[in-house]
Amino acid sequence: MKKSIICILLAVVLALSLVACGEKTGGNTTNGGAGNNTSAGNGETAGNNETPTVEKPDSISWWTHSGLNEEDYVQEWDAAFEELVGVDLKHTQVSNNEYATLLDTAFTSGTEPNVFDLSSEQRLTYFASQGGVADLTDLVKASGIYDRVDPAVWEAIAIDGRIYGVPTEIPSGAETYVRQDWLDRLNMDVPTNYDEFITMLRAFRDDIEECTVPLTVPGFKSAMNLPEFYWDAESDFTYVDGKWVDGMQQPNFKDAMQRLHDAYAEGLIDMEAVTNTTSACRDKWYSGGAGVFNYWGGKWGDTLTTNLKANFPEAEVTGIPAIDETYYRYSAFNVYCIDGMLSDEEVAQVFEYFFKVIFDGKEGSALYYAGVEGLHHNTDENGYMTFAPMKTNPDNNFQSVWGTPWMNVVAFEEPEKFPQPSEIVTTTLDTLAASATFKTNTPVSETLNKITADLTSVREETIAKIVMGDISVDEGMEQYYAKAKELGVDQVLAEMNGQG
Amino acid sequence: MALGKKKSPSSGGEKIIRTNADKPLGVRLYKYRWLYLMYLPVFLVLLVFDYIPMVGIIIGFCDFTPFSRKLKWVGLENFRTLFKSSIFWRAVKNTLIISSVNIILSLTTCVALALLIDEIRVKWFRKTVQSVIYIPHFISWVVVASIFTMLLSPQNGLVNAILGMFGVEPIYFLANSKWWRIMLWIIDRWKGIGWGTIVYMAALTNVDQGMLEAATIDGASRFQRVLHVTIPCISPTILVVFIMDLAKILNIFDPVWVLQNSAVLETSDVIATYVYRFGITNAQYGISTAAGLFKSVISVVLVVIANKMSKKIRGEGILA
Repeated sequence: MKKSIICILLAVVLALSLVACGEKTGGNTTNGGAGNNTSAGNGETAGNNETPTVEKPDSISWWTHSGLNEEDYVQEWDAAFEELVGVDLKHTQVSNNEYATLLDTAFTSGTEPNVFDLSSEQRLTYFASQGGVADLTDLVKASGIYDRVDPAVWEAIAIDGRIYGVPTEIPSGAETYVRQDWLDRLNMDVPTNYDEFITMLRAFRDDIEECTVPLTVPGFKSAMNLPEFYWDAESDFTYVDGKWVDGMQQPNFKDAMQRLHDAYAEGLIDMEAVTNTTSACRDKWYSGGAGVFNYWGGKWGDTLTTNLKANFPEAEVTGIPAIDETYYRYSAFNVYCIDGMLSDEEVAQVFEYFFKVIFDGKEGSALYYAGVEGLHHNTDENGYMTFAPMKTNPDNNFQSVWGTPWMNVVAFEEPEKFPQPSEIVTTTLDTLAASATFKTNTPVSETLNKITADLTSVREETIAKIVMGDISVDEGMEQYYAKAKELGVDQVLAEMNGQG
Repeated sequence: MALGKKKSPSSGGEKIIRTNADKPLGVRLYKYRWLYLMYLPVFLVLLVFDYIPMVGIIIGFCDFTPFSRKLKWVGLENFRTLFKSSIFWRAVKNTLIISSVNIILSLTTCVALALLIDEIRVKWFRKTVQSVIYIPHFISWVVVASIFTMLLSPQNGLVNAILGMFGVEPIYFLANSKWWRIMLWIIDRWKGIGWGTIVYMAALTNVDQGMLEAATIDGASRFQRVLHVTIPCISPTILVVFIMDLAKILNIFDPVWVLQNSAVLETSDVIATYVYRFGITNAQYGISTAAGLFKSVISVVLVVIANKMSKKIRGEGILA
């Protein structure tokens, strides 16, 4: 009898454990939100004071993967949004590293959020081609948002002339940061061409005692992070003379590989570049051993300088203009999209009570870009906002909330009243604006959707082997041409150019 | 004579001994009801997380993306795409090489270490050694990769610093195709050797002490006793572990994924990382499921072959 009771108790405990596990999993998926959340409500007015023509939804689900840390008053922000709009906001913060995977998985299981963001490069094209995002063209034009954005932006993010998302910020661009104090010690000027750039790296390597890495970089594939070596070459599909081509099969790519190979062999580029993560590169920069680091402009310029100076107060950093042979590159636009699985009516509801709120240029935009008054920002008697200290790091002020106010795309009514950037941020943004180019949207290709994983790894492998001297440039490129052919790159190009 | 019924050796007549199998199912279920009740949660976990998801195998025969609301049957198209890909076959080759060596190293090092620990007579020292060597098992692969990336760094890693004392040029171990697999095997052993000894330590406690004493009296040296008494005694355990490892031979993922980089893909890309790239990174669920199914089928075939070989050589296997 005693045994029986013990058995029953054990079984119950195990069964409860199982149920608990099940509930935990279920809870996560529920948080993902669903189209069904957007059921009709009471039709109150939205926060932007316009008379709505669509019924108010009960709730809107929204995923973020960057912006505020959870501890930095996110709950308060959500409450402020709900108070402003009168809609239950099901806001889920997702790990940035896993965002793409989790979003795909959510779509697979039908638990995707109503609102999410996508890179306007290949992800948006892919989602649009599969019906994963709603066509917002008519809603954007009717709302007035269209007219408050530079037409070049719509052109850059449109797919076959249709708009599938609204950008919250101009994209980040990468620029090259150099240790100005080292240049001063060497009596050198900021390099303006390739020869001067290489001379500078050699001088860092040979004449600066604490220099362990003249130039640090995470991997070799990104032309955006190595513009001084790539020049106008690209390792991806690129638009040349009115048609799409494989950047790695262009003549200028071989020259870029040769430059990278030579610099690596000379010890000018971080020997561990291929195993570097971006955080490893930042650590090398902060520890004062690296002389050159190409990284995001804007607020990152400030962070790279502040953190370096914390360790080496005498250190000075300068973001240099692009050298003559090349240009800086912006990353792709990040756009807010609405779940394409929703009905037209539900899409209109989400647009009305989310998009029109955060892009109203007034209090909705202030909440989105500057956060909650008294927590994320303070406002003076004239209505000018300044960012407040962070809860998680009181020594530093917030620099953005869900978007950075000075990088907004949809114009504010009184932009001067929003928080303003620091001087170094303005400088780096100006440097980028002077020479950076926007990324063009990649057209739809069914074949590319299927081979992207293999093609990316083949490209990375080829470039790494060439740069590190495992194979010669010619040998490496021949191997790549053969692999590209095997994978069907010709078919991809045919589809991109409308001949597939 | 009916199956399950035996003649009683003590009687000349047809006296039947009933076995449990003769009893009605209901009676047997009732008899072992408490055991079945205890097993129920385990059964449910297996059913929900292992068996029901197997229905997803069908995706391997379909064109399926995150946005597919219906399965579009494409027959063997995904398998054709896979088998045409030289990258897939490279991954198969790497998987077999890396895992085969892993199994051999695992068996030999764990058995050897277990035998060494078994020889330690000071109880507290033996327990301390056991505890210390178990620790790496509990460190996640991500942390292990970070530790070894630092130790093996060509710029300021400890290993290269020591090699430098002997005039050896820095070696970029984790980005060199010739060194990468060797490093993986070493790191994998560092992490797994302690935990792997547990099962052998348990087996060693069952070695007949009488046989060891007899061998000692017969003049066998310590090494001869291990070779001719201890190892044969634990060989059934070694066999079971070998066959179970064989079932997992194609599953290697974590250590490869965290130590892999683009410079060594040629020697490091395995089926599991290939499946991950297609399935998780690229959301091509059809092709990745096909690759996963291929992996599972090969694993089953390997286990069946190993079991048959075991039956032939030793007269027993672990499967029916």
